Amino acid sequence: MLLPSISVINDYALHVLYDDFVGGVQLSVELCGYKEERYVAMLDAVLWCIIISIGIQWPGGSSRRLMVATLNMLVHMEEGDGGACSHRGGVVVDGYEWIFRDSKNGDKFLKDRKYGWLVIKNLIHMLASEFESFLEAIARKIHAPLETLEVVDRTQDMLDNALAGKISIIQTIGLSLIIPYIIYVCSLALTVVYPRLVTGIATVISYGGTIGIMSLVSKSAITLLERYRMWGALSVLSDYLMDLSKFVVLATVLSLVFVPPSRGVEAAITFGSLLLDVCMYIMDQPALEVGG
Amino acid sequence: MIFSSNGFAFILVGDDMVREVALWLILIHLLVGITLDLHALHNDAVSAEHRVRGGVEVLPPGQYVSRWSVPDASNGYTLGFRIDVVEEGDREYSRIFDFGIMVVEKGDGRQGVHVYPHSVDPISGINYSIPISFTKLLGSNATTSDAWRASWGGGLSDGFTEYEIKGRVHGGGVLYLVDEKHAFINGTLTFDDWEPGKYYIIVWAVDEYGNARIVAYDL
Repeated sequence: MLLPSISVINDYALHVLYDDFVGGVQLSVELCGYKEERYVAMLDAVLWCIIISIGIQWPGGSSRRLMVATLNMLVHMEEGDGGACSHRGGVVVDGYEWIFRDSKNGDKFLKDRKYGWLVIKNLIHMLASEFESFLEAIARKIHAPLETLEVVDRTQDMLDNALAGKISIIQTIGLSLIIPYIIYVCSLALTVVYPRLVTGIATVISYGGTIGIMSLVSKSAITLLERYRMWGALSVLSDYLMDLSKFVVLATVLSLVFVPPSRGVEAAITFGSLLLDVCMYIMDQPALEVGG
Repeated sequence: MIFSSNGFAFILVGDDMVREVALWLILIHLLVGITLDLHALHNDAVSAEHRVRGGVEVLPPGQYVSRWSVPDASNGYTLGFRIDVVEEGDREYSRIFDFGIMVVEKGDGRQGVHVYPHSVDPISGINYSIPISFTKLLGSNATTSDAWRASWGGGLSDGFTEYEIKGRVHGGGVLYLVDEKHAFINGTLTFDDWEPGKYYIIVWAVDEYGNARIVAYDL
């Protein structure tokens, strides 16, 4: 009579081979389990998962299933073992996945003060291609050489050099909103105090600039990230734009506190708010900094 | 900054309540424009993310040990091994980009190191490095050196790269790219002062999307 046998293989947290006769049929069961960090698409996160591979072999046939579970949920199942437990030597101590384009690296990419110039460059390319076709059309009409195009290239190079390593993508978007906004608000205040044609024109132009420039820069960033297939960065950017929207609403509604008090109190609140902006900048909270 | 610049505007306007209310109402008008624009841009970013995610994959290359002779006194504490690397995705850039090996000694040393693929990211042209965390893999710091590390690096000799490990651990082998989806690392390493749990081998592999798998193997 053949006795059932159990073999334990020390290459995974759990790896057991069990052979037995059941109803006169020889069955071999292999069970293998271990933990591993895997990207779980439905939760968009890299999580610790339990990987379990179960194989059953009987005369004339076999079956094997691979199951991946996390947070008490079965997130993946497939036939075969997907290579999960195929080796029996070299004990795996631990392993993890690192994904260049995921949200964690995307956040780093957006905040890294090396890549803001890429958005500017992309924007200039987008605008320059329009400008170049316009110049080409004029040059063809007057049969002039296209030396002007070199000026466009030189301007791009100068901007690349000036901005390289000094600004992040998030800061670029933030500044594209805040600079025209400050010009708009100040010219608006002057228009309210001194209703002249010049201040009125400045207000109207800066109103267009406030919305137009941020829109152009953000679209340029989105185009660039899409071209680079940075899905994680796009996800972080969409959250940032939503946060920015909330903070802009909050900042504007809260500005009602400036209506009743005297100039001195207004100045004190403004100074305190500026200090908070500096803190947010140091804490690397761009949406709060722009809103604050 | 928006709140602060609003503050400056109110200081400029002065203490005239009617003017201040008028200013605030105009600011609310601008707020509507900015908010609508930000929502449209948010939607653009979400759509772009969906388009990109539909075309990329996030499966790092798998690693499988196909040969492993445990070092012991009978073989002079020599490890013989072969680890296969298999790309698991089937999209445009689902190709093995680079892979490598390092020997580490558990204990003092650093929390981790960075390894650099042989070239810039083929999609964006941006340089990146892959963090290898010893504390994550082994639960403690570890020591390694340039003489204990090797990577395929683009295949120095027609698809393969011979490597040599020097020092207390010595030996060598080959990092071989069989085709764009298959590669292997083999070798023989001799340990002058082998002890159980002292040395580990870490193998990393990355595909052209930048999906990397890092695995530590106990000897």
